[in-house]
Amino acid sequence: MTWQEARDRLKKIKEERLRRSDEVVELWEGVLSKNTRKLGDEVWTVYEQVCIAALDCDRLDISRNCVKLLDARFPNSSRVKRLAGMNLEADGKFDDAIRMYEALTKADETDTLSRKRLIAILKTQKKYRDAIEELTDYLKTFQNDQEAWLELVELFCHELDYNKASFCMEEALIHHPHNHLYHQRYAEIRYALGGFENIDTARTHFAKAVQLCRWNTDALYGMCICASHLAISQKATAQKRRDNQRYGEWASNQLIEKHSDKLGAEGRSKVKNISLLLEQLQV
Amino acid sequence: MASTATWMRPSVIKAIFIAGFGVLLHSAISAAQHRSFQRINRQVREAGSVDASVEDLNLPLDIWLETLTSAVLVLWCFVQMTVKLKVIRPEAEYENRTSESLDFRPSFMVFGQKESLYKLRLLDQTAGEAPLPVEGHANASQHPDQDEVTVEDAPQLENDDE
Repeated sequence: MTWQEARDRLKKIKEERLRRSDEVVELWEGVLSKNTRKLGDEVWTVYEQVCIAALDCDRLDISRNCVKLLDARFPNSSRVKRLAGMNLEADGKFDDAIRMYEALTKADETDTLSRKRLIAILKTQKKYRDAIEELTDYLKTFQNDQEAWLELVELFCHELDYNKASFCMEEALIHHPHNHLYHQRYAEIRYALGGFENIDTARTHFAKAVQLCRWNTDALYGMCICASHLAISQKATAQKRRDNQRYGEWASNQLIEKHSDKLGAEGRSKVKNISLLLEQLQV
Repeated sequence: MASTATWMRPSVIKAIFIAGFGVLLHSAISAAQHRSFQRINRQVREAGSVDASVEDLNLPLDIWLETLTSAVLVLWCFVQMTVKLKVIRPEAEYENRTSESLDFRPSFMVFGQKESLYKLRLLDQTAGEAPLPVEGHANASQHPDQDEVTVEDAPQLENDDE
């Protein structure tokens, strides 16, 4: 792999927000670390990305080196200080890290990333309740931070508080109504809540997710389950039951079609198994 | 203009572009010639002391048509050749995303778990065993379609295995 390819791959990983930390570290060690001169000014953002990836992989030798080089180039940058703080976190020196982040937030109140790090430390220490409190406090000021809303969804789900989680997911959904994953996640939370109305909403959102992205198999399965539940529900009207019967059939047909497309001729027996399993879902 | 002409080969488009550019050039030359012809005419008329104040600024219809069609052609080819147009549908941006991007939030990354997923994976490779001890999600979603339900899908909260 040439250094240009490696550079473009790193960029792609960053843009698509993938957690491919091991790949980033491998690319750095294998290709880019020998070509730092050729990268020009880009090298500094690459150092930052590699530093975080190395921390994620527990390769503290690499991350320390990155921070050292960045610190030499940008001595008073808060961005570099935050990286140093992350290094401390990875070392388990949470008190030092907290002190560092608090100094940063005091110097600049709009330093959202440092505040998020403080919340992440609470998460590392398994103080989920405190993390939720801090995060709601943070969201009172920065309401358009959808990453934080999603984080709050995860924290609430972890605490099994699906009602609040669904509220937070709605907020995120308002920011990006065209993202099929948000619809899918919202529907999953609603389904986890249970009850006729919630499952009805879940079915609607699974359907929307399928409409937005035809390849979303998770949403198709969700639609199958919800529709089969609603089709035999006592609370539903006769018309609704019939409709849901049809939706469920449509979704399972789509699934079988997708699986047989992917498996080809030799996978016919597997497809048969899938259709049997789908029938079992309709209990 | 959301569609790109995939049915045409780039070389064909290039040829059309060059031809169109030639026609555009030709129409420019004809327009200039027409102007100079008018000027000579006017001088003749002035010499004959006919009313010279009325100047005919309009070009003949054939030059008009030639200019317009060639300009449109050249513009179209230029757009086809240089840029790859994006689909306007708003959901197109998200179509290729997987649940991986939803569950990864870099600002809230958790470090310091000594048994990091990377190390587990390395151990895994040396031992030659495939599956990882990844627990289900809080609101468990199935991943039947993804070939690689790998370490990246592991929820960040649940590293309780220290």
